Amino acid sequence: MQAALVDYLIIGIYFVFVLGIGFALKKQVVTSEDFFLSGRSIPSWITGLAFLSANLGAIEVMGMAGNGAEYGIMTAHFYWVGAIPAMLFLSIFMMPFYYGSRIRSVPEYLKLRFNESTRAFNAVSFAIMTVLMSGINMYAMAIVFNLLLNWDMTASILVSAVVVLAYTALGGLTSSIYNEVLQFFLIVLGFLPLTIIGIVNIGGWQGLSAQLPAGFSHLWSHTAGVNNPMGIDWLGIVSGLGFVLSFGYWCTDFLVIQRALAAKDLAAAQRTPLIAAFPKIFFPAITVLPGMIALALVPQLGHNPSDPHMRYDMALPLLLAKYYPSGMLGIGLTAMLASFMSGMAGNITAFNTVFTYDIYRNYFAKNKSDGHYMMVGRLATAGGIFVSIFTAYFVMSAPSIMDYMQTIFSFFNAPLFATFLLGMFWKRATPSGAFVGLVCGTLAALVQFVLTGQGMLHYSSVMAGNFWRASIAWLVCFLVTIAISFVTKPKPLEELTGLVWGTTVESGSAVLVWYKRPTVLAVLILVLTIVCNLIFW
Amino acid sequence: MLDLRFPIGLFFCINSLVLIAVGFFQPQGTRLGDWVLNLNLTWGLVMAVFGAFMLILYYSGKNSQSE
Repeated sequence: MQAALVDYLIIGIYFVFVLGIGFALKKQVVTSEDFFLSGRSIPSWITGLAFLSANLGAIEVMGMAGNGAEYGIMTAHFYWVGAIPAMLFLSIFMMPFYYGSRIRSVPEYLKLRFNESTRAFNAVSFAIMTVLMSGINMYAMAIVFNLLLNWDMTASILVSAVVVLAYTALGGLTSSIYNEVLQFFLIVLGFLPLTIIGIVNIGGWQGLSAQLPAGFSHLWSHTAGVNNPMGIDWLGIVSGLGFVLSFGYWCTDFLVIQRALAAKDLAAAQRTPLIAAFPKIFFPAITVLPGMIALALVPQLGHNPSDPHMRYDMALPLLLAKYYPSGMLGIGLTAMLASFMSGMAGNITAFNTVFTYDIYRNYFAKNKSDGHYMMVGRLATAGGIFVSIFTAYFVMSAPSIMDYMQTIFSFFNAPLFATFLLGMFWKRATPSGAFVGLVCGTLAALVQFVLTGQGMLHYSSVMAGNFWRASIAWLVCFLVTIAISFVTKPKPLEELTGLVWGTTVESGSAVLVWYKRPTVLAVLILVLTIVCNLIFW
Repeated sequence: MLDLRFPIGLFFCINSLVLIAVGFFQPQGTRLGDWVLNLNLTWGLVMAVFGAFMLILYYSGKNSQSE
């Protein structure tokens, strides 16, 4: 199926709306706080959906479908063992520290809790990570538009770059958040028919399972050993993915936390990850399932790495081309375009905040005017997008988007999570311990990556390597931070108020009715997640 | 601050009109089990309902604010 005029019309309507939202919000962005944190005034239903949608980039939409084709239903571990428990932990235990300390970025928390060096290390590594991640979205969009619209790869990348630049530079974080919510609904309504048509035509879950290789339709039952599609046992899944990678991403990645910091009060900030967690439980239906359906329909998918149109990541576009007529194809393509731009904008808005507040203002130009920092934020947006164009080409070297992304996370987020855990829950953790631990954890991941590349370490799949690398990086950071903390001087207790568990923190749930309390919502979400694990055991 | 329900509602209403028009004037069948479905028309109607719902929420919120 090739796109027709009506499909271009739908894509055109979408561009008009995203740019229109940017222009409508431009006059409301007056201060740098408006630009970088939306003036901390956005209702929780919007920040909640934006929290979810900032992660709904190419990784989620194309990457999870690609992983569904590569590893089967085990991909749902990213949701039901990974994301959901981590989002609950963030809401209940970590958000009071993030929101209560009135920080503007995650590295800023590290400065308050530890020292300037720890903040600088995290700010620089986060800036590198966001442009690498943004490049994934550009690359994904380029191959989809190349396949379905015959657009030139470079032209696709440039069109998306210009549109994201326009609306994020105009309306800052608010514009990005508003477009992310629009994109959320578009992605759900754009891809839901694909799953319904695919699963009905293949004969339901039973029919699908019968057409897939053994182990593709079970979450846990083949994980006593490594003889399963992902090539990893239950311990690796629980520790590497469930604990380190997922908690590392959802609890420390400023890209998602920034959405919650834009909420109007602590209760709304705590509800943000919980509101996002409800739809997240059901997202495998429109991400993982289409990938599995695509594999059943096109069994040669992923078998020829040299053919870019037959990569696992192409599972979703191939289904779109198979099932959608012109009209719905336009909706599906726009949803895909929206997801790429959402992922890119999420990374770029996080990048411009960290760059401006944590790098530029701190090391290059202190005490400048508010307008000056807002202008630098806009320039950082342009610079971040420009660098992302080049990082888009790195993705081609990985077997799939998800493999590439988890490799990045194992370097940056995994050790950082150990730093945050100790920082938030152990008063004795010292600035020197945190800095040395973080550097050693990152180096441990790097050494392991190099050894794997040289053939000195071997894992049954790229993903298994990512999970174990993340676990080791986390453990090294955790142990080194503890060891160094015992022999160095901790910060005085009065400097840790509101930053560490056990010091005074404003409570956001005391005056709420029971069904709005974060703990009640969290328990409900946890029960639903356990049920999902049991159904697909 | 711009009420997000308005652009979302309007966006889906406009796109639903495009889908319904395509489904009506250029009907194409998509197999769904034993049925053949006019997907553009069917999903255009679903999106119209969603878009209208968002617009109703927007206007009811606006009216209650002005009262």
